[in-house]
Formats: sequence, C-alpha cells, structure tokens
Amino acid sequence: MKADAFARRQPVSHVLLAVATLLAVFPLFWMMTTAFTPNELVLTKAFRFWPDEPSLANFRKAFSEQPVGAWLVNSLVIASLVTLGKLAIAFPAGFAFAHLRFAGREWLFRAIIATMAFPVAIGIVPLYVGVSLTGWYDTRAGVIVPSIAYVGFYVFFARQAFKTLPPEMFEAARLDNAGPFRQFFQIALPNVLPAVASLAVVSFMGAWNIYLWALLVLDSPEKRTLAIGLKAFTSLDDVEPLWGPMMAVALLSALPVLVLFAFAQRFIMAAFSGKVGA
Amino acid sequence: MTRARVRTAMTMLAPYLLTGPAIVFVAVFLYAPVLFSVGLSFSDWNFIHPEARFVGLDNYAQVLGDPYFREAAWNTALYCIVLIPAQIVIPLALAALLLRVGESRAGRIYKPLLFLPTILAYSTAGIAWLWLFDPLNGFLNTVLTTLGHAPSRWYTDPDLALWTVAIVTFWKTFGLNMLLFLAALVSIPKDILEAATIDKAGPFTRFRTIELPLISPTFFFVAVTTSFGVLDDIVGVIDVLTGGGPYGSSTNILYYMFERGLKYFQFGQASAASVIIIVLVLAVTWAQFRLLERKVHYES
Amino acid sequence: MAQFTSTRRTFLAGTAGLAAASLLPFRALASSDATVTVSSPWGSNQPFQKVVDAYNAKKTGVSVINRMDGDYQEMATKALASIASGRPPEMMVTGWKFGYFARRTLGARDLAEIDAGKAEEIIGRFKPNVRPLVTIDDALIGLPWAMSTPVTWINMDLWREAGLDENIPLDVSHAWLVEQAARIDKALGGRNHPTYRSALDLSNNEWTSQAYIQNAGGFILDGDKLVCDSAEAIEGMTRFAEPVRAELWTNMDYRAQQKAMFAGNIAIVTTSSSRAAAAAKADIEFKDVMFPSIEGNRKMNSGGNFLAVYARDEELARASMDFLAFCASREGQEIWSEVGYLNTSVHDIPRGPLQEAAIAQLEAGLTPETIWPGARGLEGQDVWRQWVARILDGEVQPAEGLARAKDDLAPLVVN
Repeated sequence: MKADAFARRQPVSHVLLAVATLLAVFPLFWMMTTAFTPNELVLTKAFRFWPDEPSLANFRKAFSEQPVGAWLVNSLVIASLVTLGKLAIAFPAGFAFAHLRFAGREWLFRAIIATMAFPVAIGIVPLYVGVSLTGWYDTRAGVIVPSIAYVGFYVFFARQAFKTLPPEMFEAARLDNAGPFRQFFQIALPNVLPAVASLAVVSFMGAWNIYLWALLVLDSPEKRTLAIGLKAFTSLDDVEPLWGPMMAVALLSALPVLVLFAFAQRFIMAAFSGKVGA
Repeated sequence: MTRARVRTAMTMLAPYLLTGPAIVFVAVFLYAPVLFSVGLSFSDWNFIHPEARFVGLDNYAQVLGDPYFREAAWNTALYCIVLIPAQIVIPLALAALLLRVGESRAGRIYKPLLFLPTILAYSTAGIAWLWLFDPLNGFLNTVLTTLGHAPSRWYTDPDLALWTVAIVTFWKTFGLNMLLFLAALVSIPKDILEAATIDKAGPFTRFRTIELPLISPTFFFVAVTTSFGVLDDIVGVIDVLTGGGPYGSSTNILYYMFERGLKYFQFGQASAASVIIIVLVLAVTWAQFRLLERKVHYES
Repeated sequence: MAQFTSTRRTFLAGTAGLAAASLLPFRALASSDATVTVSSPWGSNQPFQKVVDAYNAKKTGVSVINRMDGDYQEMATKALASIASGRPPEMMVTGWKFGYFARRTLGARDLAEIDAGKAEEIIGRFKPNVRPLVTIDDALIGLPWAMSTPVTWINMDLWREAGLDENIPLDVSHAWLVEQAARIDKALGGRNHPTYRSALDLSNNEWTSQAYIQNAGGFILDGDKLVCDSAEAIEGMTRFAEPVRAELWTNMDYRAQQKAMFAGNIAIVTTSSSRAAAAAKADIEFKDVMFPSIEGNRKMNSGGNFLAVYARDEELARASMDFLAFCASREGQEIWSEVGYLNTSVHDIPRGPLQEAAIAQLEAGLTPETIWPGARGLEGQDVWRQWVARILDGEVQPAEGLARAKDDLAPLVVN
C-alpha cells in the first residue's frame, strides 16, 4: 500500500520521464510524418507535424523505384532462418551444460560464453574472404550461416532456463531409461517454452536488423534485405531528394519489429532483463 | 553390440552431440576467423596479390604509422569516454525514475516507448536521424533557423560528426541498459526501501547508499557489456550517418579496420588492425575486472 | 522487373551457354542465348536503361541486364569482390579516373584481344581524339562514350529573385562569380526563404578542385609524378576555398549537393556538364555558363566513363562486344545522347539542350581528369578528396594541406 502511494506522488519523476520519452520517440514520429507527407512538401521549410492530406505516394514511389517487396520477403526469410538456426543449436547445448556431466564441460561453456565479448565485426575480413571463395557471396546462405554463430548469449540464457528445472525431474526420467535426447525433447524443452519464446523474439529482431554483414555479402538489388536496401536509397543517383520514399521504407522496415514488440513485449522484457524460465 | 551398450555409448556421446553444433559454429565462424586474421596480419595476401608472402611486422608498422589509424584510435577513446558513462548513468537514472512511478498508468507507457529505439535496425535509426540532421531541410536546422540561429552542418561538420554519431548510438542503445537496471531495482525487496523511507533519507542519499550497492552485480554486468558493445554499436551508425567522415573525423578503429579490408582490400593491414583491437579489448576487459570486481558488493 | 533477374542465374545461363557451345559447332550469337550483366551507376529510370532495352528488343540472342551498383568507386570496389569470388560482372561502367585500376587491378579486357576486327569497327565510330582515354598500357579497354567537363549551373529563378542581370556572359571568371554569389546571398540569405540555402557550391570533390588548380596553371599529377604542392596549385586551391571562408558556400557531399541543386537550394553550382539532361527537365530554370576562369585563364579537364568488358569467358566476352557495337552505332548513340554527355562519336547527333558551355570548353581543348596510377588508385582518389575537404573546411591552409596530401599520396601512386 505504502509503496503504491509512494509511486504516485512523483511529479518530478513524471516530468523527467515524459521529456525523455518524447525525445526517444520523436525521431520515429518525424519519420512517420515524413513518410505520409507528399515528397514535394517534405522539402519546403515548415513545421508540419502531420500532413493536411496524408498520402501513400511515397510508398508507391519506393515500391516502383526499388524491389521493396523482394526486400521484405528476404528480410523475413533471413530473420526466420537465423532464429531457427540459433535456437536449434543453443537449446541442446544449454541443456547439456545445465544437466549433463561430461569432460570439458566448463571449458567448452566458457569458450562459447567468451564469444559474447567479441566485437561482431572482428572476423569480418576472413569471413568475407571465405564467403567469396566458397561461392556464398551474394547468397542468402552467406548471410544466414555465419550469423547463426553468435550464440554466446543464447547458450548462456538457455542454460539458465534449464537450471531452473529441478534435477529430480531428470533423475526420474533416467530411472525410466529415458536417454539424454528424450530427456531434452520430452521433459526439458516443454518446460522452458517461455524462454524459447523470449530468445526467438530477440533473435528475430536481431536478425531482422543484420546490417554490416548483409551489406557486404548481398550484392544484387533483388537479394537485399530491408535493412540494407534502405542504404540503397541514400545512394540513389536521383536528382530528386527522396526523403519521403526513404522514410516510407524506413517505416516499413521498422513496422514488423514494432508489431512483434507490441505483441511479444513480455518475452522481450524477460529476455533482456535476464528473467529466466516461466 | 547389445542394446544396453549402444545406450551407454549414446549416453556418453550425448553431451557432445548436443553441444557439438554450437561448438562447431562458434569455432568455425568466430574463433577461426580471428586466428586467420592473426596469420593474415603477417602476410601481404589479398585479392590483388593472390600469392601470399610473409612480410613480418610490415602491416603493423603501416597501420600504427597511418595518421588515419591514429585519428581512429583517438576517436575510439573519445567515444568510450563519452558513451560508456552516458550509457550507464542515464539508463540508471531512467530506471530509478521508472521504479518510482511504478505501475501507475503513465508508468506503463514510458517503459516500452523508451525501449522503442533499441529494437530498430542501425540503418533505420541512422536514416531517421540523417533526416533530422539534414543540413538543408532537416528538422533540427529548421528549428535553429526559426529561432534566428545559423544552420549547422551536423554530421558533415568535422567538429560535430563524432557527436552526432555518439548521439544516435546512445539513442539506439540506452534502452537495453535501462531494462537491465530496472529489472535489478525491481528485485530489491520492498521492505528495505520502505525502511529507508521511514528513516527519512533523501531520495539521492537513499539511492546511493541502499539501492546502488544492492544492484552492484548488475552494474558490473552492464559496465562490461557496454564497453564491449560500444565498438560494434558505433560501426553501424557510422556507416549510415557519416561513413567515418568528414576525412576520418568520426571513424573508430573497428570501422577503420572494416574500410582497410573491405573498401581498399588491404587484408594484411585490416588484419593487423583487428589483432590490435583484440589486444585492446582483452586489456580493457582485464582492467575492468580488476577495477570493478573489488568495488562490487556481491550478495549470495 | 527484367533488371532484377538474378545474377546467379546469369552466371549459370552463361556456363550453360558455354557447355552448349563446346558440344555443338560454334554458330552465330543468335543461337547461344547469352546473358550479360552491366554494372552501372544508373537506375532503371535513366537513359542507359533505354539503350539496354533497345538492344534487348532486337533479340540478337544476347540479353543485357543493367544493374545499378552505386557510384564509380562503389562499383569498382564491388567488382573487386565479385572478381575474387569468380563472378565478375561481364561489363562495367568505369570512371576514366580509374582507368589504370580497371586494367591493372581489375583486369579489364583488351577489346582487340576478344575480337580484333570488331574492336576496330567499334572504336572507328568514335572521334580519334578520345581514343587515348581508353587506351591503357597499349590495350583498348572500353567504349569512350561518355564525356563531360565541369561547367557552371545557374538557378535562374533564384538569380532573378535576387534582382541580378539576366544577361549572363558565357565566359565567366571566378572573381565575377563570387561577386554575384555575394549579391544573391545579400538579397535572399536574410529572410526565411522557402528553398534558398547557399549561394555557391563549387563541388567538394577531386574534379573541380583539379580544374581550379589547372586554371591557376598547376597540376595534381604530372604523369606519375605528384606536383600538387606547386605555387600555382596553392593559388588555385586558395581561390577554390575562398567562397567557404566568405560563407557563400555551404560545404556538403556530392550526392547531397546534387539533390540540393535540383531542390532549388543552391543558386550557383559548378559541376558536371552531364547534368544537362536533368537540368533541362527540372521545374527550375537552369542556365549553363563556362567553368569560372582564374583571371581569364582556363585549362579545363574532362571526365566521364567508359564501358569496359570484364567477362573471362570468351563466349560472354563476345556477347558483350555485340552490345558494345550497338552502343557505338548511330541508333545507340541517339538514345544515349539523352543522358547529357558530349557527343564523342562520329555520328552527327543533334546537340542536346544546355550544352553550350560544355561545347565551348571542349572546343578550347580538354585535359584528362586525374587518372590515379597504381593498384591502389581507389585509395589515391579518397586521400586527395579528404585533403580537399580539409582545406575547404579551413582545417589546414591550402599550402600545408597540399604538401601533406602529397606526402599521403606518395606511397599510393607507385606501382
């Protein structure tokens, strides 16, 4: 009771938070306004917080100038497959590290966790050379497969989730002659589904936004993702400044993650704040 | 072989089969490239000269003697000095404020909205700001000129480019640390806070003497992940906003490495730069553990 | 959507064509069905696409795909990567300034080596004086079909609004132009003008700075020798940077400037004459006058690009030659002339609008643009650009900036 009353009487806190929130959201709001403002008006000097006649012309222009539809599909495919890949390797590993005993367990776990400290771009030159020489240049596989490897956090998180399950659960299974694989699939995994959901959402959002690596590997315009296709708009050799269409594509690129965020907020917050398990 | 022996063998092998894929991915795509970089850094191999020759420390000498590398290193230090404290202090303050407004209706709105920038792609974030900062028609210059000030060149101004990159990077990343701090603050038992309130301690004193020590493990974790992340986070923003320019004034060492390797195809120099970065990261990590571990109050 | 057809498929189609050719006796191109990709800086709404479409409509058995890959530098960088991965674009539009880089590093093909007869026929369609521009190390490496020179573009709407005299001479000097810029800024700069942002923009790049240096009597490179720190070069760069000091020029990057020019933000811009086509179509009225002389002296440079063949596969190389032959033909050149480049062919093609200044400069004689020697030519250009930008920003004085540019460039121009 007291804590609630304590929470309500905080005018200064409210003012500070409101200001911070406005600052955080304004660039996105301005992007949205611009996306719906006809491009000719975008370039005239005025404070226009919402267009008098909102228009979809920028979206039409964007779709007609660049294969934005293909970018959308590519982003979906790449983000989904990277997510699937990460989950498929992180959860079995997390389970083994949490509940199985084996030689080298600590050492291997540390080796995986240590990769969390790697700057993502550190191995980018050799990886790029490798991808070029194996013919994965300009292919989806070239983007997807190396991106799966950043699983340090996922393995750590999965292990924490499995650790919340009591060991007795597995003792009983072992007495029933269930092998490690059955223990994993039939007992462990169904009990950590919220953790699976958290990591799936986080991974999808991360992969949706893969930038530098995709920019390097994907060459053909129709193979780009939305995140890097946006960059193509900034380098278009067009005489007209395309801020309107650019903001339209930026908005499109943000929309799926915004929707996902709205529906899956609970899981995302859980993943980021390290609240594991249920 | 009997079924029982097969089963025993499977039980023995199972941990390796379960962890194998993760280990293979990490080894092939994260460790191997780093090792390969070390090798490349001593050779002149690249797409232009496909026959590799051992060149000793030539690449290191070239990188360390390159004024652009020195500028990049200096900028990296600046970015760290500005961003790391900002990415810790401001999110911590916001988390503390969020804790105070609690679960009031407004309180539930702030949190997701403050977190919104964090989920965007670097290119989306970068382009939103590119437009706000646009020297000709951008919102910020419209505000400046309307107020009677001269317009600014923002990211095309060598004195401001680094700051615009820092602002966008901060905007794009503060949400994560804010959530981490909030989660830690929420987990502090209410009775401790109430006892402090009864003691009539002022809010700042209370925060410093009670809440902060109790969340020190989180503080430590955030400090470490933030300093790791700061290099990477900036690179995406630099690429969209300034390309490291004007003339290197907003680049950092990771972007320098990226340009050496993948714009000019000087693989040896890029690899030498990446080895230097790894050494720096290891040194900073070691120093942090040494410094912070002593100050952190561990419960448990 | 033709231009978005996958290049991987292109590659496969190419190898399939080769396989077929090795089984059957070689017949006309019409039966081989080769597909060649051209890496270009032009999107699907540009005249180059029309040239490609016109060629494809002929159904010669070769189909051409135009792929927009960014500016000259980005294209060259991408080409290096795709060559390393074994899939070079069959053809690429290459800036003249990267001629050495194209031949020595990227391995642009000698057209004579692909098909000597056809190469002779193709180059015969161009004026003899442009042939040296595409002859690098004795190899003919491309179609010299795009030539421009920097000229002055005046936004007449802003000019009139500022109350300036509409009778503008064709031959203008630096001093005169800066004076007009100051008058425009005085008239329009103070109020909250809807579009006006900057009076003058001489272009923050390697090309117009070269023109200033040459007009002052200097050079950047004399053969392979760096002479960018001569007294004449310092004089040229000092003049070049003047308008920034006088706050008449809001310094911005090339792409932003191009857009700003067409948005009516800048009153006077010196840049490529190839903006003629876009300027003629714009809602704003533009007028072209010659690039500013320095006290009457002018030694202008040219610029542009050539269309080079990179295909390693002979079948695709010959298919590429067929497209080049079309580009060199009268029909091809007529469509191409819409871009706004100067006509370098022997065909009598009507002059496009807004080319008076460019033609006057061409007739006075043009030098090549700076062709960066050495395998690291890409870096050379960037280093030069960065020093130009530093001088413009006032970070260094012209003399010091040029001397330091010379130091930085020295290791990059050797082979």
